Amino acid sequence: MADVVVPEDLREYELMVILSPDLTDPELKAKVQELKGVLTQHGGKILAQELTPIRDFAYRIKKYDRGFYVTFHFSYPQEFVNELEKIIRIEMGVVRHLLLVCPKNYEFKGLMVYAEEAEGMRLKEMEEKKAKEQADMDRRSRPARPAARPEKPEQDTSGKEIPASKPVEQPVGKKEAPVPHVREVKPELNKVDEQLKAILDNPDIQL
Amino acid sequence: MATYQHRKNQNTDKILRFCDYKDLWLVKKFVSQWGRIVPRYYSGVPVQAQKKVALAVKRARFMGLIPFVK
Repeated sequence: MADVVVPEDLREYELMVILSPDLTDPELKAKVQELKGVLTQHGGKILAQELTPIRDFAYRIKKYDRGFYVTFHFSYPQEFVNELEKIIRIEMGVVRHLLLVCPKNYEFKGLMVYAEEAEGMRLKEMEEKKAKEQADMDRRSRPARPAARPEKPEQDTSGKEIPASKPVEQPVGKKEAPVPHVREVKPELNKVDEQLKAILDNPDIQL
Repeated sequence: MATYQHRKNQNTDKILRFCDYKDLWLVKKFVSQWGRIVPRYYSGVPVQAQKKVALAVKRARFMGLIPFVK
């Protein structure tokens, strides 16, 4: 195997490793350093890395309920990747690992970065929801527009009543045609109006 | 969770570019309350996007970030 690695052989990978929660702080650091050492073999290069604080699993893995997530974004020669995975699986004693090939123009983002972004999105969504609710409340609390009262036809004070609507003669034996809705003026109201006007017009009464 | 009513609200362009299994905010949108992958009828994304999302969900499950079954 050639010791000198041609840059074209390098490929970008992402490795996520779960480390045991039993590790103490110095042990954890040593483990991460060891992983780094493995990844930089054969001309490999670490581009980015992330170490999360201890995190709960969604389900039990190898009798552990929580663990440390370490993520590396690195370039590595293609021909040694199988070997690398074997080393990680057998020799490193990790709880679980996932090695992926990165797509083109890949931008590394860790779990914590995504969590921060999600928090921002959640807050934004909450604000939007609140604003929407407030707008809804404002719309409901606003008083309804009073309907414009139709102007009444001028009436004589002589006491004659104008019939509100003429009774429509119905032809017998024929089907009833739909009658357009006409707003009827109540005769009682007309009477009251007349009385009021008479009082107002009365020169004997002074207000 | 994606529902039939909200099926057109997904950001498909972002998913088609790259769907990361670490982006739990996105991944959880495509998982039902019992932890199952939401079918395309409800998620409302194109076939290619649905495939990427499904893969991301499976990877996140494998790494213990989201449960297989709730």
